[in-house]
Formats: sequence, C-alpha cells, structure tokens
Amino acid sequence: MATSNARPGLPNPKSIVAEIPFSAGGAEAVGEAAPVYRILRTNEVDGYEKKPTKAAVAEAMFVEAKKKKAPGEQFGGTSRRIAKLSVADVKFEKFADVGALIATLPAHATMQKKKIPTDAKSNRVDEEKRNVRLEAFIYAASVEDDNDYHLILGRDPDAGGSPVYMTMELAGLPPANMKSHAALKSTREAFKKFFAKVFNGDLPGKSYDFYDPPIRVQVEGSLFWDASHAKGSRPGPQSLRPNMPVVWEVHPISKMKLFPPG
Amino acid sequence: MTTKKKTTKKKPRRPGLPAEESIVEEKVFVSPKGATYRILRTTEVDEYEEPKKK
Repeated sequence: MATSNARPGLPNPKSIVAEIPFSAGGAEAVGEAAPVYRILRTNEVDGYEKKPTKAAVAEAMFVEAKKKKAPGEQFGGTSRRIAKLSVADVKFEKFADVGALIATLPAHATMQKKKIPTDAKSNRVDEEKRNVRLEAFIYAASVEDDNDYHLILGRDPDAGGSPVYMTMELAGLPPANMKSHAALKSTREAFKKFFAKVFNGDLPGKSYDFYDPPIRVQVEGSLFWDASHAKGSRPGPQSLRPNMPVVWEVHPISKMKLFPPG
Repeated sequence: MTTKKKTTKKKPRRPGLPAEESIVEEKVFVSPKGATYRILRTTEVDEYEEPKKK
C-alpha cells in the first residue's frame, strides 16, 4: 500500500493538518499482515466553501477528541482530594438563591491569605465547613478529565435582576469505603437518570453545553474554595465567567433533585 | 423637519446563553406535554483549558 505523499490523489502537503495512522483490525486473525492506513486531515474544502485555517481545523480535532473519551465514574484527580470527596459534618443552611449564598462567602483575598495546600490530603478549612441547601438553575455543564461534572448554576431566569453564577460539582466517585460514597453515587445517578429521560442520555462533554431554558434543581452540598485557582485563570465558560464573582464552589453536591422544564 | 430612522428590533437574548459564535450544535427536545428545550453545544471551556493565545 502506497503511503508516500508523491502518489497521485494525495493532498497538497501544505494543506495537511494532521496524519492519523491506524491499522485494520481482524487481519491478524486470519494470518495476514494488518494493512496500515493513514487519514490525512487537511483544510481543503469545496470551491464554494470558505477555506478554514489549519489552526481552526486542528482546534476542531482537539474538541472532537476530547468529546469522544467517555467519562468514567471514579474521581481521577489528586488536588484537594479529601476535601472534594467529603461532605462536611455540620447542619445545612438554607438559601433563597445563588446570589444569597454568594453574599455570605468570605472574600477572595481572605481565602488567599490562608494559603490552603492543594495536595491530595488537603482537608476542608473552617470557612469550608458549611453545608448549604438551595434552589437554583443549571445554565451550563461540562465534564472534566477527573470525571467531575462542572455545573454552572444561577438564579431563576424569569426572576429578573443581575445574572450571577457559581460552580457546583458532581464529584467523581470516592472509594467505596468513604462515608460519602453512597450520597455521591446516588447524586450522579439522579443526574444521569434525568438526562436519560429528558435529553435522551445526552450528557455534557468536555466543552460546555448550555441549557435553554436552564434546568431547575434543588441542591445540597458542602462549600469548597478552589485554591487551585486562587490566582490566574478561573473555571467557567467564557460567556458566563464575567458574572461568576467567586471561585467558591458547592463541591461535592451531595443531593440533587432535577425538574424538567415546562 | 425631523425624520425617524426605521430600525428592526431584534429580540433581546436571555442572559445566560452562550455567545452565538461558540455554538457548534443545537439539539431540540420536546416533552410529552409539549414543552420545548434546547441543548446548545459550544466550544466554551474553563479558562485554564483554553488554547494559549499567541
């Protein structure tokens, strides 16, 4: 099989963005050498289409590849693992909405001064030993490499007022012997069951999905200050980030009830 | 004499929707009761996942 770029019918080398090699499965089973194929991904298009840049094609491949990887269930991260996977052992405080909760959170500078370590054994500091319960709306969601679902929640879209959002996370599962395991498992299952019923199982991928209208939820969980983002870049999709004033999160969500729109 | 400029009023977008240029797919679902909802799949990611700007 010819694999040279000189063979007629091959693209102009200048248009090639990536070369993806693969071999045909099954050939070895019948004693043949597996033929090797290449996909040459290019930025060539029909004459009537606008030619994309090679960078745009490469970026699209990156997004596609990230979406193809199916998320697992176990928590795959290390940063502040103990805090992220545990539920604080305190009573629940009830809030009217996301804005009311945010108003009670210690300032960013105050939390920065605490220099919370981000190693796996880093547990909740006193300010994070709070459990909250509120009604909110999921505006957007994605899944991370550590199998956490990042949910961006805000106020009732019909209530008016300034938009404000914060991150709440459906954590990847802790080991089965952790006290929080049953609650976190049940919460992930409730989320997936809702998506199976309402959205044909179309769960969020690595980039953000937005929901229109936003999904109403009743949510419970523990507070967490994301020390990994004490400085520099922050979580959240570009469109909502300007109205996400804190790196405080509800993490993990320990209970969630979702309501279909309408 | 004053002249009035004719303008076509565009329906304002609800807060919390993604930037239009970031939408790569729109999926529409209709509930058994007839309510319509959409998933807008976008290219938006957390800031630390964004490709580095040159």
